[in-house]
Amino acid sequence: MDGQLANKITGYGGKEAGEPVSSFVKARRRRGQLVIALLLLILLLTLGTGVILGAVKIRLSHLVRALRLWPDSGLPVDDSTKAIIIELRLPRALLAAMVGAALALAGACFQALFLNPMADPYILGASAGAALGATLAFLFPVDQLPFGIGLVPLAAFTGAAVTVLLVSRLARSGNYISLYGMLLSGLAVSAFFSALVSLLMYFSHQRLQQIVFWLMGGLGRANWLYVRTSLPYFIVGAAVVQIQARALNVLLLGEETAASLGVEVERTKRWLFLGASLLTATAVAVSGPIGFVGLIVPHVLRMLVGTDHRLLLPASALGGGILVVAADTLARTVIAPTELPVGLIMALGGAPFFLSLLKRRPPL
Amino acid sequence: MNKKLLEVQEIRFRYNSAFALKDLSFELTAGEMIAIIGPNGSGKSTLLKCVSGLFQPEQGNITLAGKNIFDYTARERARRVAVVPQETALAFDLTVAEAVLMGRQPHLKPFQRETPADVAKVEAALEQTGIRSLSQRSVPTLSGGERQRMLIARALAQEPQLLILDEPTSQLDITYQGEILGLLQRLNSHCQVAALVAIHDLNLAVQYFDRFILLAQGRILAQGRAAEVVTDENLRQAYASRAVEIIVNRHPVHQRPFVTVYPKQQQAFEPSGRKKGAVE
Repeated sequence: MDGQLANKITGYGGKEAGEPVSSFVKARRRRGQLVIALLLLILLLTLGTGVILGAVKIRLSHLVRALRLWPDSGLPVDDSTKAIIIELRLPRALLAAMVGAALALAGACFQALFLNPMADPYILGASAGAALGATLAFLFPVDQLPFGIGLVPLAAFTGAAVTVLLVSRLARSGNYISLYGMLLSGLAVSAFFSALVSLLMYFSHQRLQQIVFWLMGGLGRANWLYVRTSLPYFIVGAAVVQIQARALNVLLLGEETAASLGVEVERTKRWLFLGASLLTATAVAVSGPIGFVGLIVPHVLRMLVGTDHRLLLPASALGGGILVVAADTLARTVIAPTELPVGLIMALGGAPFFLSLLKRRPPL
Repeated sequence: MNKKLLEVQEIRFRYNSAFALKDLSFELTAGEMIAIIGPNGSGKSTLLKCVSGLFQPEQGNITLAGKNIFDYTARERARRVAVVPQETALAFDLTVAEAVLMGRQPHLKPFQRETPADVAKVEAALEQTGIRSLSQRSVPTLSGGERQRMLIARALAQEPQLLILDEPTSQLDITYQGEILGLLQRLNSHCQVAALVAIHDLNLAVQYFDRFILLAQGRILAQGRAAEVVTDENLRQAYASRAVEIIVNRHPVHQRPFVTVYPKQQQAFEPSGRKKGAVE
């Protein structure tokens, strides 16, 4: 822009002060990349710590040797230690990371879609639907399923998926999905399904403990099969929301403005709901409902990297992974050899932490 | 430069049963500025939403640069038409630079990042609207006038041929109102951006616009220059009211129409020489 013309237009005359936007854009991008690199490092460290700590202590050198991370001529690791690392701790830590990443991604999406920093992954009733599915599976157990994955996660996934589809169908008129309608029917359907779960629990007698334990959320059943089965869903869901990341930024300005800025709003919304719901359903299927991750993590990372979802989404995924791996490690170790449900740890630690955040920085 | 940019032909639109727009037609040439005036509920906002492609009329055509506006993809349309909304969503804490950078959205390919050229266009838009020094400020902390400038800067970053503004001055104090309309006028004369502006304040509008469209109950009651549109009869017909009396005079300074509104009961307030204005 020619300076003189600009002055004519502003009608002020004289060049205005102000840091150039280019340096700001560059700085923001660099900061985001730095945060993501740091989070990746912390995630790796947390995963390592999660594998080492537990009822059976494992030395770092054993971990390094068992995973062949370093060419080493020292003593071989004995088989039981190796089995603990490879068959128990490692899949569990990876599953925890995936669950955390999925919940944080879904939370970031829903918060942006609903223009509300208080939205969480379960806002469309995924947890209530999954709970209903899981409860039914506990009450009518089938011994063997074709893929060996177990009936409970399958039923939980189906319950979550069906609920979200039902809610979005209820909120839809013609080609248009109303966000308020989505929010309200999510609440109503959640309440209804939770009541059904309570009803089933009331008559479940000897299965009650299993159901209650599942509802608290935990990763006790983790194995490689869980990781292998759920990973593709996670990857698809994460890819779908990451592809829409820039459109999600524009949606922060409101639907009408987004449309006037060239975003195909309804199509974008549909993809985002689909991706975020797939992530939520996958997480809740393998771990039961774990609260606060999807609420806190995007909130904290928004303070660190800003509201650009191209950076915020990957950062949230890493942050969510770190949080759940750490919480699960804690759940396994505080009163080892007994385990606490990780959902319980999260709620106990998460709620006060969240309150302290709100106190320090009131939401806009 | 006399190219037809926007052509609205016989459009009809309704929300539920009653028509909000009835057989409405007008044209806008490239680089022209039109003020849309009329009472509340006369269809100003509805018309703007149709022209920006948000609402699809039941009948009639809206042609933008020779092509039906609904045959454009949202992205193509956003490169030609920019909308300055009345308000902006403030759920999250964006900086002014970030918010204006979103104006480049329709020019970016999928997965493309903003290039230095995009950033330069944002700088230019901030400069033109006089808010370069605010680029790092967070949007929720801006005053009404600053926020309006930010929204205009974002629209300019879209590099549109047509700006659509819905009540850009309704929430501003008198000096900001003039500044915003003056800015529009200068943008229009230096950059040849056309503008379609819905505006309530008639006395403000007559000072900044050359062409007017007066809407009443979804129809065009009059269109043309200020002296032809802003008249006693037109305004009384459009703003038919039992409570107030409307009188149009010449403004002593700029000689354009000047609208005075006063309560009907207070006969003493009526200026002498205009006795036939008392309609019962």
